[in-house]
Amino acid sequence: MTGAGTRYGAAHQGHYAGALSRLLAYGADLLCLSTAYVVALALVQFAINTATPWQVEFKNGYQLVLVGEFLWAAVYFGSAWVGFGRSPGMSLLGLRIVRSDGATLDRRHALIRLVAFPLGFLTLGAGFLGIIFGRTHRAIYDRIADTAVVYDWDAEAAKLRDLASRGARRREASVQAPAEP
Amino acid sequence: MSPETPHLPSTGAELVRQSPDRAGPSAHGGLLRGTDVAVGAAARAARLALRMGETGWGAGVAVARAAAAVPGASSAGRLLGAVTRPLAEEGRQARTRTGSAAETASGRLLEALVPAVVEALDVDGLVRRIDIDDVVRRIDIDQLVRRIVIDDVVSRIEIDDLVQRIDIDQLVRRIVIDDLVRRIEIDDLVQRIDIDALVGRVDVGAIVDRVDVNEVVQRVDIDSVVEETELGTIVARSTSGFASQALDAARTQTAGADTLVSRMVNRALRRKEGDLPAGPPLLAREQAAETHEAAETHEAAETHEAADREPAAETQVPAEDHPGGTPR
Repeated sequence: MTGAGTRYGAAHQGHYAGALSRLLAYGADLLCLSTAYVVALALVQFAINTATPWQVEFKNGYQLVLVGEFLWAAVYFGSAWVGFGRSPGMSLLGLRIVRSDGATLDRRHALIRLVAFPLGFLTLGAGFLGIIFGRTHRAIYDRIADTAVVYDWDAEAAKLRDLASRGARRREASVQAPAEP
Repeated sequence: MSPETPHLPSTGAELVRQSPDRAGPSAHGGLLRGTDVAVGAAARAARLALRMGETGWGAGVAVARAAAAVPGASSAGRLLGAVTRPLAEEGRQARTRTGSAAETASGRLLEALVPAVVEALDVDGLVRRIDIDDVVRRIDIDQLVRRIVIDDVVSRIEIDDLVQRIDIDQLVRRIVIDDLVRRIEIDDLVQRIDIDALVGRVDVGAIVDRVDVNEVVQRVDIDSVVEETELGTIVARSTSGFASQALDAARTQTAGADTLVSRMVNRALRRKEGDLPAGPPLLAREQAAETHEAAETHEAAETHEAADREPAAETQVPAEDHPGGTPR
């Protein structure tokens, strides 16, 4: 990490988020919700198999598991978008969903975005192309919900942290250097 | 009026300078000569009379002493005194009248002569003949000064009037300030100043009130403060864990990659990056205001620093190291 890099990030605060950041955020969300879903399913399976006379085998009912995962993803994204204007993956990458004019995302538009979100997949990925080629980096569901995704992480604080760390390391090195023969 | 014939204002007569040798055959000259002869005769007669009087006075005194020794002389003396008293009285009155007449005559003569004499005098020539230096040398200045009561002199001076008559501007113009300052021993002057007392009289609160703290803070290079001071160590220990550093790094690198991708796409689509919106209008406006403020701060700091820097050194400062600056 370099100071110039942090300053570069600071210059992008409030700008439309790029494709790579959003992809990584979605990947992180997918990993997070999938892990949680699998763990939850394993716990449910273990509980049922242990505490009841029935035996549950999810391999046989994967359609149900898939539907359950869709529902779980809806809950995951819906609650995060409505409650915080961002998903956990977006928080990790420092992204935030806002209205197209930059206003704070409200519940109604968050739900519209949630409903329109599968269109990106249903269009065989074409719905996501707007993130790469669009002037405002908005996917099809962003256009429907009149939303946008922007960089929101505190790059200035990150820069100060970086500077402080470098300064502290340099001072420690200068203190230790005379002690070493 | 010619110098040869000065006019006598009081009597209307003329004073004529005349040498005794220049007495001519005129009637006026004859009259003067006659007068001189008469005065000379009278003077001799008077001298003779005075000698005779002295001799007579001596004889009289001797006779009087001899007569006083004769029996019955006192009665004869009293009788003589009674007989001569009217004569003595008359003589005394005549002497008094003569004295008064002489005084009056001498007064008139002086009134007539003095103005003429004064006018006839060459005062300038007289003054020129006076050796002023010699006169001054003879004056005992110390004694003279001791006789002067300075307080009285000073109390008679109207200081206000005196000061109002002084042309201060002209006075100041005549002062060579450089010479004056050069003669001042600054070190001595400073040593004589009680700095503590001076500082004690300064209203520090009023000075601080006049300081624009916000402007001062804006000039502070926060980055340098955090990086170079112990404050940075505190910040690093309190906020900069491994996770946050990794997160900062990931976000920074990702944002950089996003920019790279966007640039490639824009180039492929032949779009100018400057024509594309950077962000939603509200956030972009906010960002633009912050950028503008940062640029102004940067410009102010740069201007402030430029006064203390050499032009050559200024050109060596890289743009990205400027505090508060926004990289383009």
